[in-house]
Amino acid sequence: MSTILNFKNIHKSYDANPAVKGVSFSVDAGKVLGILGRNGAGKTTIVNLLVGLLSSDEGQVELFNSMPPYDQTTRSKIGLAPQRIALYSSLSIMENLTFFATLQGLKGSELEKKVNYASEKMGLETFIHRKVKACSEGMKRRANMAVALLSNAELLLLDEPTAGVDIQSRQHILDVVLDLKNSGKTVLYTTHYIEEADQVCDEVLILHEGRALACASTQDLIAQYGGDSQISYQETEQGQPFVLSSREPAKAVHQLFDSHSSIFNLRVIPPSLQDVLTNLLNGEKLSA
Amino acid sequence: MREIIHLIKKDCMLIVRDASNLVMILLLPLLIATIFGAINSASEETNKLAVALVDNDKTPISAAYIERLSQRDDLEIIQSTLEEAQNATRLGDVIAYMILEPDFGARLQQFPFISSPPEIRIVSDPKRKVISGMITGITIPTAMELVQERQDSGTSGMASPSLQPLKITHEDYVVESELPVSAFSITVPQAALWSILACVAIMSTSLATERLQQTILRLKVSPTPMWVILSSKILSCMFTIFISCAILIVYGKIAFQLNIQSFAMLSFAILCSAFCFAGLMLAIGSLGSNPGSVAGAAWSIMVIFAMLGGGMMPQFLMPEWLSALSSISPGKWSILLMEGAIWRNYSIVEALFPAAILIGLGGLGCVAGVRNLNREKFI
Repeated sequence: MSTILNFKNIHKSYDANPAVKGVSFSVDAGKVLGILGRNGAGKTTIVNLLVGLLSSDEGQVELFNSMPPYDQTTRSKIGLAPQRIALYSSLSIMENLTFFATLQGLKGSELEKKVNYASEKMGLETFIHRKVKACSEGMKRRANMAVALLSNAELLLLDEPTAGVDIQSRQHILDVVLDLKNSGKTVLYTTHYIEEADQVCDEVLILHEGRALACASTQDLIAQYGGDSQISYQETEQGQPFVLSSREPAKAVHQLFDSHSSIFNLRVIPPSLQDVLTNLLNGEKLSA
Repeated sequence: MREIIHLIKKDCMLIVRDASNLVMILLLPLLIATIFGAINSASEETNKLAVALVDNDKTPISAAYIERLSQRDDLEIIQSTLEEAQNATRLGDVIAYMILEPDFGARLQQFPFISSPPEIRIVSDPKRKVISGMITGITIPTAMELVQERQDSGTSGMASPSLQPLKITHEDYVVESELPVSAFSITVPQAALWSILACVAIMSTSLATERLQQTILRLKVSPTPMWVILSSKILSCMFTIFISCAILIVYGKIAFQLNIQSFAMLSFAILCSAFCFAGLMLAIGSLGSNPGSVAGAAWSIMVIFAMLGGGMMPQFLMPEWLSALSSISPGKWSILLMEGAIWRNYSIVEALFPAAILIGLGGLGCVAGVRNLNREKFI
């Protein structure tokens, strides 16, 4: 599997304030990498460094084996949905899509096809002729992402695409990301919602104050940093609940059955990305 | 009380931290104070009224009269042939020309024992008609002084102070053409300038909005090269200016029978002006990302240019240094070039200098704008 994106030991500061401190990661073709971090962790700076809008102070960025500033061919392989709604508010969604499709070099029936594809994919057909300023936040977000789908981009950079949207729109956006993944596209997805990263990402980079705390597949992260599974049970039907922690929950459950004649309301809660994040941040605090 | 102080502090910080706000609330008033202060306080330094003088009399009396006029602080007399005087007026180098008729000396010598006094024709730039009244106010007392001096030395009869020693006739300078100059010929370049200024304010605000909404970021990442994006920004501003000026001219033709000496030259003038102001639009639009303050800054800068360009007060009222400074105002050169096409009948060579200044200023604006936009940080 070829590596599409390489981010090697990148440092970036705004004046004297470091925003990214020695971050490294790479993304293979067809994978979804999630960058998970709080606001101000450096997610958008990484996206801007990747697309060449910012230059790094140290380190090397590579996209499709070329370094910024990228040529036209490399740029045509990138689809970007910025964190803000980067659309012309006085124009309709259709006019926006048509304009940005033109900048991708599309014309005629090809342009029409792409605009239809993007609007259908994002569920915008009903509002396609509505001016952006008259759209709800959810519609705007979907339109913002639709623009990223106009090109034949191999890599999609989605910078917090679900920020401030309703549950339906969020799920729609997540479904589209999964579709993109299934169709072989490479996606870089920044978010501060753990459940989103859990749902759509193959790998997750956990970013904290500009530093990468960990980067691996969700399973590996959970195995490495998630800690113990939680096992809760009751000894009698109305009895007091007990909670056990164990690295090997199956073994622990066997032992429970062996040692108790009856067990009620047994539940095994495996560690989640939330636990990974909590443990990593606690570790950060301790080392600080 | 503490809350009030914090609210005030917050508002002040918001104002101070946007460069375009500072242009509007500090730079503009400071420049207005400087310009008007200089005009009101420095009367000795004030620019002299440049007037061409054609002496068709060529007698010692006409020479003495010219000498006396030349000694005045408020006039700059440029002795010329009729052709030179007409040309200087046409090009706007002088505000008017005066013609001393062939019997000027003889008549002045006989004053007041003649039926009609000597005549001076003042032919003024039609744009500066008002000033010909000021020239009259200077020429008559000067003639009176000369008459009295000659009477004191016994070379002339006694003059009656109640009589006018000169007969002044006023004419507007008109380019030799079959096309008459209408009032609209004078006002159309000024109206076009206002239209251009409005285009600059609107387009620079639109650029700031693009930066605020980050659509410019999307354009930067697209496969379309940055130079194409910025060129199209400049071209769309030029196109808007061109269309608005064209509408104005068509309106002038239909409603006021506006006559234009050269359509090709007028197109060239509007094109140069459009490039100049499109460059300035790019520079102003890249000053900030708050559309409201960029709009304010755009209007402030345009008002400064209009003031320096003589759009709000005659340049002869300015001290010399300020008059020299006015040469950086694109408004001045834009109007001059349009007038050159409409009624001043500029040749290509005559149009080259103002055109070069406009293109140069536009180029500087483009460079400044591109630099600012490339320096931009996306956080």
